[in-house]
Amino acid sequence: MLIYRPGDFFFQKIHPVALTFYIFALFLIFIISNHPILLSFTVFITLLSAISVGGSEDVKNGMGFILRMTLFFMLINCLTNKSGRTVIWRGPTIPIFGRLQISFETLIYALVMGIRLSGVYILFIFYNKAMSPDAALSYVALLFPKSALLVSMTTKTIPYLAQLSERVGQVMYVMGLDIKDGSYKDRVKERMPILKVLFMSSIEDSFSIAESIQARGYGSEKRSHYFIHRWNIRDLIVMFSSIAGILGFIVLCKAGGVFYIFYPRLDGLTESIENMEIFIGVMVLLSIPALMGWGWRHWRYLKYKI
Amino acid sequence: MEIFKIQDLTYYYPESEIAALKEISLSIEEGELIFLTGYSGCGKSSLLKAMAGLLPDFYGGKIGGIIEYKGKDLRRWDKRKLPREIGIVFQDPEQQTCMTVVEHEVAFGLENLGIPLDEMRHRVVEVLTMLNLTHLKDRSIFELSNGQKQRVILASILAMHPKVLILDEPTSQLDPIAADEILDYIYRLNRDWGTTIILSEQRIERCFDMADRVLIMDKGNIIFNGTPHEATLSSNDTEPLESFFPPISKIFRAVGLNSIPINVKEGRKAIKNLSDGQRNISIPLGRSKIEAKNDILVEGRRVRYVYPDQFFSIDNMDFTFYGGEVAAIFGENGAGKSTLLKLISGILKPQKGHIRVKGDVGYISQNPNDYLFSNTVYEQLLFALELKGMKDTGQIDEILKKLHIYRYRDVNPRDLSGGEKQRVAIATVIVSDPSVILMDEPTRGMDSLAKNELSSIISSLIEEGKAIVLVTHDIEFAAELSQRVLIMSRGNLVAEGDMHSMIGSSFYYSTQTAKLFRNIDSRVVTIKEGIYVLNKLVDRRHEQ
Repeated sequence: MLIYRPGDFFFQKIHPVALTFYIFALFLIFIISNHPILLSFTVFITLLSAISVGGSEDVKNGMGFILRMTLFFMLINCLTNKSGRTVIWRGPTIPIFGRLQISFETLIYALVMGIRLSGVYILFIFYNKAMSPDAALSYVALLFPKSALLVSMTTKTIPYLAQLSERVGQVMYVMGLDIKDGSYKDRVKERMPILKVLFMSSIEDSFSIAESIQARGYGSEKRSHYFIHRWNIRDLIVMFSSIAGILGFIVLCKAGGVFYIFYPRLDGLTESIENMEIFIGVMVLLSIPALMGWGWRHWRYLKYKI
Repeated sequence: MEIFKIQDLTYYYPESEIAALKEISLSIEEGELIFLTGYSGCGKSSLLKAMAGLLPDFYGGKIGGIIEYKGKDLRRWDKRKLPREIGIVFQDPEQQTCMTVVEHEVAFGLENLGIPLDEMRHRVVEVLTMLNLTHLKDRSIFELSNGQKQRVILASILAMHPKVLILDEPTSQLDPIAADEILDYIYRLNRDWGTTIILSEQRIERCFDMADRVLIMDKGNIIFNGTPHEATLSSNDTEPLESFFPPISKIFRAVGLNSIPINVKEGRKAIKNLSDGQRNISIPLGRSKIEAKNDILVEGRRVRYVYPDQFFSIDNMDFTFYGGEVAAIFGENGAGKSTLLKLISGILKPQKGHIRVKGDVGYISQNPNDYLFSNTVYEQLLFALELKGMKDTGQIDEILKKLHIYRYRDVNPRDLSGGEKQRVAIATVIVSDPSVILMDEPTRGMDSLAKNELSSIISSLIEEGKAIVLVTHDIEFAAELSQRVLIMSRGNLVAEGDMHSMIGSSFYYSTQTAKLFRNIDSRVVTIKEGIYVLNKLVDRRHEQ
């Protein structure tokens, strides 16, 4: 479940500001770049980071969804996109979509979009597992006191809904609702009553939570802060590598190297990269925190040193 | 010193024409422990929220009259300073937590008040120690039991050092052990710290005697304001009052004695004076054991289920449940009671052993909201019928009438009160006519009126030959209804027997009546039986 559980994890021990920069750097790449090598590598280091905070089960559970979405992208792309030149199959002409055709380029494009989606999904798991919502609230409240609580409550909603969903699902199962068998469409349809209960209960509960928050004086005075995070060497390394990674990525954006050309024919994988050194540098810089996370769990000496 | 002075307080919720509070006048002294009780919907929560300064600011609506706190109109108090003065704890701990880690939750209120870091640390450590939470301080809130969560909320409020602590049914979602812990802390706060406590609760037998003053509300009015002993001596024609007395007081009042005890200690003393050591009074037992072999509706043999990340949840357990009986299951949290219900209902499959169920199973969970999503009560029941592949041939209206909710047939079930929602949830389950009905803590948060209604519903289901399996911590309720009691511990059935022998002989799973009459007859467990025995004792006393 996507719940922050305090434990002896590297990314839970580093300064929230440093962690925010690291997450932002990864997010930036997933959102802006469409280069298969950069995206694949960033997915890999995000995966490594998520596993190092105990997120492997959540990643495994979500892969079915990612796979289905990738297949969906492929289908939609093949139906709507006729830009690819390397045609693998031509089908009949159908209204609205015209003549069906599957090209190698459209398939690869959809595949890369699937990689991007999986990256965002794994990053989301990583964020939930690594970032303490309490620490996040404390720091965001410094900048945006009125929005901070909203952000924190939104994060907390995920585990709350997961627990509620399990409970309501069990009740509905005994009543005869079958959410495990049947086609995908049937299962989605069968889940509608559960979703309705979740929606109604969460609205009702949110009112009670707001009441409790007001009773405890939120927003009444300038807040003080219970969280005092000292900067350690590990925080500085993560911070430095993330900021340097972001700067390198910005340079690549301007000089070329983060955008890949799919149509009409696939570009060479390294041809569009103008500054190979910076390209490699970004990847190396962003892998440092992930490797430190791995080392924290498996290399006692490194843990002692950082 | 008078800390609260309320004069002619009247309040209407937005878009409501019925007053939630009607011209209430009240005075509360500093350091008092006030026990506020009344049926659900009588205005208790509204009064408490008004005293905490949440009404009408948070809810809107119309308010009249005045609430003075420390001699100053509450509405003129600086809202930023009020949380330092008045703390409020609500019913459901799930709906009060704002943070994810225990220590941070406790510090949340202090951060909001801008308390300096050093003082925050001091206060946090102090309340964590006081409420025995130090070992949980780094744990995630999501991993705690409801009792632990409520203690964390209480710690969070206490860390703010309020002068007045308002508690709106703080134990309604808790099991008796956790509830007792919370109530003990509250009592200590009042006695040791001098904190003024205003406590609303449904666990009357536990709170009645610890209060300095009892307030009983009905339909927005305070109908009694006095000491616990004064309440029990009030005249018999004030019927609504009687429901809010502890079982011991009810027994002594029913017999018509002049001196009415309010706790077991006083009751024992009174009985000792009456009985002079007589121990040979036995009671006629109305309910007998289920013996008919052909009535078996659920049978489990060597059932085993282990959760992936836990120890044994159910370990080689044998069990049998019969038609026409209510079997109550007691046990501490984590004993495996809910897992057993999930196994019988098919939510979980046994990893070893087998379970045979004759007919269909219905499951009534703790929270009626888990069932309700349709636009009307009728559609809700129709949905349940259709899930079982059945059509409405008039049984929906029949069930609604039987459960006295026919008038809500076309009303959205989410708009009903807690007790009414519970009845809709029960109707949703029984409309498809299951032979076995599993109930998980059905009385949680219910007042005595709602419990009586549920009791009569269950009685009518037994008459139809259904098997009722009741997982509950409400021993008083179970004693009134069940024929058989099963006690579970660590995934095993550790004791089983007829209700009278099990509850009568138990130290912990026992009613107040059983504790009172233990030395006379250990099978006396219900109020009715208590009245019978006390009458006998009084008669013998008169004969002598």
